[in-house]
Amino acid sequence: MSFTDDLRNNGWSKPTQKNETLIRRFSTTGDILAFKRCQRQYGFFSVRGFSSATATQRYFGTLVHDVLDQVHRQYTTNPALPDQPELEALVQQAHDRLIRSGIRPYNARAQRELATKLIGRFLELIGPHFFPHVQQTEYHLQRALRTHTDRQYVLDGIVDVLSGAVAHDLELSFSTDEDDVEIWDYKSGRRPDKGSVELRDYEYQMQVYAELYRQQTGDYPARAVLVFLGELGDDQRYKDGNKRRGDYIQSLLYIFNPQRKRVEKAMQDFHDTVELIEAEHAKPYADQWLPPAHTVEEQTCEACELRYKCSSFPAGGSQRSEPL
Amino acid sequence: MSFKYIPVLDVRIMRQHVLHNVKILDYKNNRSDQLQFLELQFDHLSFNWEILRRVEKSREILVSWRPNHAHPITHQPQSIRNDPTQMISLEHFLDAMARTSPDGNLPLNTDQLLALEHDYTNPLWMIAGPGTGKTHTLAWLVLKRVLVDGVPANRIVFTTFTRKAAAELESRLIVNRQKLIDAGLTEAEDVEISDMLVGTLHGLCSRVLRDQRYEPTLRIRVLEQELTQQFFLRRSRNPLLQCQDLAFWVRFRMAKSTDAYAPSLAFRAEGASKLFNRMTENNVDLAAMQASGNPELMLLVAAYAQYELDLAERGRTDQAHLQRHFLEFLGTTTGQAWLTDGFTVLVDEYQDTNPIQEAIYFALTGPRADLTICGDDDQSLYRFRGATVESLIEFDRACQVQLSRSPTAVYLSENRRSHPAIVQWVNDFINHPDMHDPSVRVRAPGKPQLVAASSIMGAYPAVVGIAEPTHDLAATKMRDLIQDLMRDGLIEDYAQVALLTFSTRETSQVIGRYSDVLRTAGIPVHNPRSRKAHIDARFLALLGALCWMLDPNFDQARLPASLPRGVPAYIALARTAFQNLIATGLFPELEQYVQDSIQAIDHAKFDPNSGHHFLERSGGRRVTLSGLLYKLLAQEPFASDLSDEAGGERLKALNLVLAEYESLYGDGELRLELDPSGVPRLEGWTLYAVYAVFVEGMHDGLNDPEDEDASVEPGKVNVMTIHQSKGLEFEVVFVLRPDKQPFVSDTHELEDQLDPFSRRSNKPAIRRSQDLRAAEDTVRLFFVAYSRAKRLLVLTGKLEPGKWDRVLPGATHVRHANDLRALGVHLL
Repeated sequence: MSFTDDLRNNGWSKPTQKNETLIRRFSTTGDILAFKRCQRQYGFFSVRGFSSATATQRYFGTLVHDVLDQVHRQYTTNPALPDQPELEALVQQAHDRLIRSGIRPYNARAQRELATKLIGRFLELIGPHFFPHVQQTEYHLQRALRTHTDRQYVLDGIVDVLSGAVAHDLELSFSTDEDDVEIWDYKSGRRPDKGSVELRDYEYQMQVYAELYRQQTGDYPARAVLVFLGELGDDQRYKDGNKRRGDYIQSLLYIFNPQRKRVEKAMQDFHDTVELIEAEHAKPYADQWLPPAHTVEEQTCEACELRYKCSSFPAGGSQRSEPL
Repeated sequence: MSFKYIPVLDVRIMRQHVLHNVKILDYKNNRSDQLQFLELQFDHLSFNWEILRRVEKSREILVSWRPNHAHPITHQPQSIRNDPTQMISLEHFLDAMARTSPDGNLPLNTDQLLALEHDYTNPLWMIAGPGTGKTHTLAWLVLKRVLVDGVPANRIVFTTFTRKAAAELESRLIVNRQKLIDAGLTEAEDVEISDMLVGTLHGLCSRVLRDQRYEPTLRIRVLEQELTQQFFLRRSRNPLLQCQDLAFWVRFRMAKSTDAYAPSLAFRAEGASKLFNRMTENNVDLAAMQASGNPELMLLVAAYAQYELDLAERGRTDQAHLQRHFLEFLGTTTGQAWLTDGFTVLVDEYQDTNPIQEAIYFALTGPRADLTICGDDDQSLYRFRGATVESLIEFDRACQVQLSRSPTAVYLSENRRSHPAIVQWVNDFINHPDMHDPSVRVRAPGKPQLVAASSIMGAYPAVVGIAEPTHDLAATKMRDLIQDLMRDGLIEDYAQVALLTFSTRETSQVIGRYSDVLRTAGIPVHNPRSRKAHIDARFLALLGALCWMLDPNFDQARLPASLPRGVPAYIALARTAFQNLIATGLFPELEQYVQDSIQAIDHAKFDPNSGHHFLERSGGRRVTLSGLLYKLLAQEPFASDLSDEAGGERLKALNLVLAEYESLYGDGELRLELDPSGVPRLEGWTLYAVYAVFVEGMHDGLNDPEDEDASVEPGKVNVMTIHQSKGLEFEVVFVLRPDKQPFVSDTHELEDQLDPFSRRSNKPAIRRSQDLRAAEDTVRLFFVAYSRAKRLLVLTGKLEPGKWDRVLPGATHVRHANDLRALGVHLL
């Protein structure tokens, strides 16, 4: 009699497979929007953990964010905005920190100068009416959610929270009152075209934030505001824009009220994206994280190390054979 | 003397902080409606929880008390509570919990219930053996803290040892919360799990420091891996890296006095990082070390100071310093404001806590003093990373020193994992003579034996030995058994089998013969920590291609210093692997790309009048090592390898090591110089650093990257170190190489050397000898290995006389004789 017979004849019970539920955590920008932008790039760098050599995009956004955060912190102790030399010093300080932390920009000086220009104009244009209303920068939104297939996940996001009659102070053409709370987020690029997928995704992001905010505090924010700092980069337009301040600010800011139906649609979109990400995780390795069927923005591909062999970026084929 | 009917839970609160000489005079039993009488002396040293648990069934009890002036009230439980109207009773909570089970029974055993019932008025000391459901209990306890004890979710800190375990904890909390909601406990809807701080302590420190914008750590970069820390040290001019004094290294057991030379540069970097980490973790008093007048200690102090300076200047921190930053933050005004009256803190795997972590947990607890620690001293494995098992064993004394109060000890002892014979084996084993000492606590006091409570039964022999005259014979028998188990349907996935050992390095001296014999038989094996990634043919070819591009001639004479031993041979190996690949003639594009790139360097722009000469692409963008690596990865056969799990992950290993190197070495940008004939080439120092640091970092062993989400690779026999297997369980466990002998290492030496300077307020008065501590470590290691097995435990190896005695239970003469049959082992 073999040993396995001995086991079987003496009460060996067949093991059952354990089915553990792992609930994943998703960052709104780092996971959901990144996946929607390009699932291949997301899969390789965010999921599989390849190290990206180009951090240019991250550098600029982070630099702008860090400087605005620092301005706000200073404002809370001394309600004054930095002048140009002070701003340059703040940008340099934030830049130094980023470099030390390992973020590697391409053409750092030009990016630093652009950041100084954009932030300087932002401060000049709306700073005095903006900072007094800031309640909290980097307010964490985190909620456990459930998709239509009953899959649970945790969604994270970060916004700035403002309160009071912000629009009134900014001379915008809609009314706000002292009890209003707004959530704000910043994009360092220009405002995408109306009707574009990119703008829709940004709006979905803010609608979802509004919902998370409601779940966290009990109420929707009165408004969600996206700031497209890249809109301040055009010198002539800035000069002209200052003459019609209200109109110009309106193009800088993308403002909308969270509405239940839009929020639901955005939430559904996020749930669907989570399902798609989970579906990728479940695929065999060779079939995971293939180039997406949809068109990927050129700047996304240009910043991606996988571009040399990727069907989403046909120009990569010739770049591949170029030396170095 | 006062008399009053009050809820029983409030008596517990009062017992610790308000009262003494409390007597329960009367209680009403809700279930039977019979009035019963009990008198119970409330003395926390001999407190009878069993009686109180029976009392718990009543809503109110009549108590008498006298105010306790000996224990002034320092803690106001009300201050941490939510609105009392939002809280529910324990009974209500337990009823809902019971409804979450299919059978309607409470999903907790008696011990676990005792832990759950504990309130927040004094620390909870939960000592939980393997398979006793400590994480399960903790997850319910957290929800109870919120719903019954009224602790707001955002005042809860819940940490564990690994990111994987932390993700599992959070998942459990979310699932359990949902179960309560589904069971009709609507109050659970208001519990927001994501408000809690759940994670590893490192993750928690990072998050809070970032959120609180703590100035010294803003955008700081953490040297996450030991290798990265060593790269950092190699980049600096730390005195220890220059230290050629053999006596220094001998003092810390990092060299032998018989060695001819001081350790190599790479080894010095490894030794320095170990020394610095232990110093930080032990919060050593540098002034006292300096004042000792000992030249080696004084050198160490100077080197440590330089290291801290380098970290600050370059915006870096290591894991240990990150925790120190956090501790310092807690002492700042902002930190105190964040802390307020402290957090409700729950810590899993507390047996592997080091002194600075212990200090953090007590600081986080603050005046609230609501600290729950959970762990198993018998499973403490990380002494070599600075863990002190005393944190758990001496927790009662630490609480007295830090909080002026005693913890409530709860022991989880019902093992629901393993066959009774395996439970018996581990119980006998942990009674090993090495674990007894009349003068020192080696194990947690009062710890009961494990009680077998698994549904796995059967009269079959569950503890089996494959003890053969050679490793080859043992490996063959092991293979046959795995094949039989699968063929006969006793297991249905190879992943139900694990091979556990102390080192998964696949050499013939360790376990290479065991994994090889499985692979030869077509049994898939997963061993990500084989430290063999660096000799994989495709990995070598990729590295070789990079080396060819940068340095076509590999002329070592032009390097500014000689390369570390072993590195030139490894580079030659990589270059040959690339040549062999090209020689197949199958990859002309790759060959062309490498040749064109060599040409491009020869013709690179080089302006002798410019101060900076970096290799650039057309358009002026600087070339980086990572950039080159990604272009190589786009060429065949590497591009196809990326689609293959084994190949893709292995090539990623190279990418990750390179990224760490680049972060410290000029972003991987490549400086140029002119050769004697005026042709540009890579600068000597740049090339030297690539070889002597980046290549050196992996030339003698590199692990494959591991999937952070998956503990076990499905479809394969998982080979792992015993450390890696912590927290896991397998149907069948082969414990390989039971001939493992305890050895005293630099870890034990460092403990003794640094102990006199450690500023830990509650360190044990007496420490066992290094030999005895090493022996303890071996027992704990094998205790963990044995207790992973659910159905079958197989001790497998070459049986040499007297060699297995350290890892066997039983009487000394039986162990020494290696008489496995006398120990009840079924020999195959």
